[in-house]
Amino acid sequence: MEIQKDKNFKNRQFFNNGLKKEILESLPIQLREIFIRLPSESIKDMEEIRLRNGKPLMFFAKNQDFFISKNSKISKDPSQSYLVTKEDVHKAYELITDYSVYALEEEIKNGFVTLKGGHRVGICGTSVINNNKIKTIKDISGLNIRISKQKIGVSDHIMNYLLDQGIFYNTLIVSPPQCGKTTLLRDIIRNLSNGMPSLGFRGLKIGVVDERSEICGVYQGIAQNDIGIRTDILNACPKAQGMMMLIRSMSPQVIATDEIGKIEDIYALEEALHAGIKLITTVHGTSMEEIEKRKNLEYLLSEGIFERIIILSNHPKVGTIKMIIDGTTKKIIITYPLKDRRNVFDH
Amino acid sequence: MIIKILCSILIVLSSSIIGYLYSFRYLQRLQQLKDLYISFQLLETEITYVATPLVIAMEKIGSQSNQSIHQIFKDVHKILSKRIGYSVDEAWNQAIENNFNRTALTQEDKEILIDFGKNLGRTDQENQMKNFKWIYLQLQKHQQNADELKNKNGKLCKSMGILAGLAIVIILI
Repeated sequence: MEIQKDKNFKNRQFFNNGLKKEILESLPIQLREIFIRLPSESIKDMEEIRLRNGKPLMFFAKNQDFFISKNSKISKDPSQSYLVTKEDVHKAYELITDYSVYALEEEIKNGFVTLKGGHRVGICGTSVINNNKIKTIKDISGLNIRISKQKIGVSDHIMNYLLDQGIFYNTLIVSPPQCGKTTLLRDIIRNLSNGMPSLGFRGLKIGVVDERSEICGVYQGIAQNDIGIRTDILNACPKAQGMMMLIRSMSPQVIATDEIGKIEDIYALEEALHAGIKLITTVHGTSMEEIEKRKNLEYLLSEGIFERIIILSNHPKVGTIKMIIDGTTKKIIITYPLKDRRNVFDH
Repeated sequence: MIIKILCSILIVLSSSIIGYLYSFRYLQRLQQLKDLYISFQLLETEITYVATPLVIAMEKIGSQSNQSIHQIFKDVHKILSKRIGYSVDEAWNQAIENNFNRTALTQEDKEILIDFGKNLGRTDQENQMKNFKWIYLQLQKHQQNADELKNKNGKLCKSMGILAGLAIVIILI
C-alpha cells in the first residue's frame, strides 16, 4: 500500500505564510500543499475555509469569497479553482475529529467541532435521526473551518463606559452575524476577569456558560483563548441550566453567555439578577428598535435591566462599535467613532 | 565408541530442541491472541466509556499491553501523533505490517486485525462497540483454532523432533 506523506510539512518554515499550524494539520495533504503556498497577505484576512464535496475550494475574507486554484492562485473566477473531492472532505473530517468521532458525539450533534487553538469547524452532511433527535451526522458533505482570531484589546477603549467605580453594568451586545460580537464579548470577559489597573478596576469572578464552545474555544478541557485569570468556564452546557449551575456552584460576580433568545434563558437571567449577579450577553440584531420588538427580549429591555447596550456593525469594518446606549434612560452614550454624546444630551 | 554415543545424543538433543521450538510457536500464538483480546478490552473501555481520543488511547494501551504485542499500539500512536496525513486504517495497517514478523500470529489473524482497523475511530460509540464485539468473536474463534493446533501440531512437532533425531542416529549407526 502506498501512503502519501506530507513532504512539505517538515519544511514548513520555508513556507511560513502565517497559516496556523492547527488549521494546516486538520487539512488533508493535498490541500495542505495548496495552502502552504498561499501568499501571507491573503492568509491574514482569512475568516473561513470552505470544503464542499465536488465544489470549488474557497475561502472567505473581508466579506467576500475567493477561489483557490491547484497552483495556489487566488481568483474570483470559480472555473479556475481546485475542485474539492469527496476524499478530501472525508480525510479532513477524520483529522478534524482527531480520528475519534466517538469522543465528539455531542459536538457533532450540534454541528460543529472545536479544534486546538479555538478554531471551530462546522459540519454538514446527512443527519441520522433516532427518537426525533439527531443521533449523528454521516456522509459528510461540507466543512466550514472558521479561523478564530482572538483580538486582544478590542474592548480596552470602551471598558470605562461599562464600569462605574468598580461596578460592572449589565451589558447587552447587539450585532448582526459576523460582526465580531463574540470577539468583543471575549475581550470584555478578559478585561473584567484580569481587571484594568488603568481604570483602578480590580477584576471580578466571572462564570462563562459557553454553550457553543465559541467564547473560550475549549479543546480537551483547556481554554484556547485568553479569557482572564478569574474566569470559570462551563463548556458545551445549555445556557439556562449552565447559568443556574454557576450561580449555585461557582459564586460568580458576573455571568457571561452568548446569544440569548429562548424563554428559559430569560428566566435564568432573571434568576441571576435576583442573586445579585451582573450579566453580559449578546443577541443577534441590527438596532435597538429591532430587538425591542422581540417577544422574549421586550420585557428585559422595557424594565431597563441592561444598563449598557452596545450595537455593532461591519461598516466601515468588522467589529465597529456603532453606538453604546444607556439601557435605563435609552440615551445614546457614544456613537461611532467613539464620540461621547452624554454632554450633548445634558445641555 | 564414546564419541559415537556422544554424537548420537547431540543429534537427538538438537532435533528435539528444533521440534520444541516449532511447537513453542503454536503456544506463543495462543498467548498473543489472548494478549490481544485483553488489549482490545482495555481499548474498548477507553473508547466507549471514557471517550479518550484515539491517539491518546493508543499510547495508553501501548504501555498497558503485554510486551509481545504492545509495539503495534505504540506504533499507531507514533504515526498518528505526527499528524502527517495518515488515516487511522493506514496507520493501523502500517503498525501491523511493522510488527507482524515479530509475532507468532498467522496470516488469518492479520486479516481480522486489518478488518478491525477499518472501522476504528470512524463511527459513534454504538458502532465502535459493535466493532469490538466483532473482533472479540473473531479472536475467540482464532483462539480455539490456535488451541487445537497447539494440542495437535504442538505435540506432533515435539515427538517428530525426537523421532527424527533417533532416525538420523539409527541411519548413521
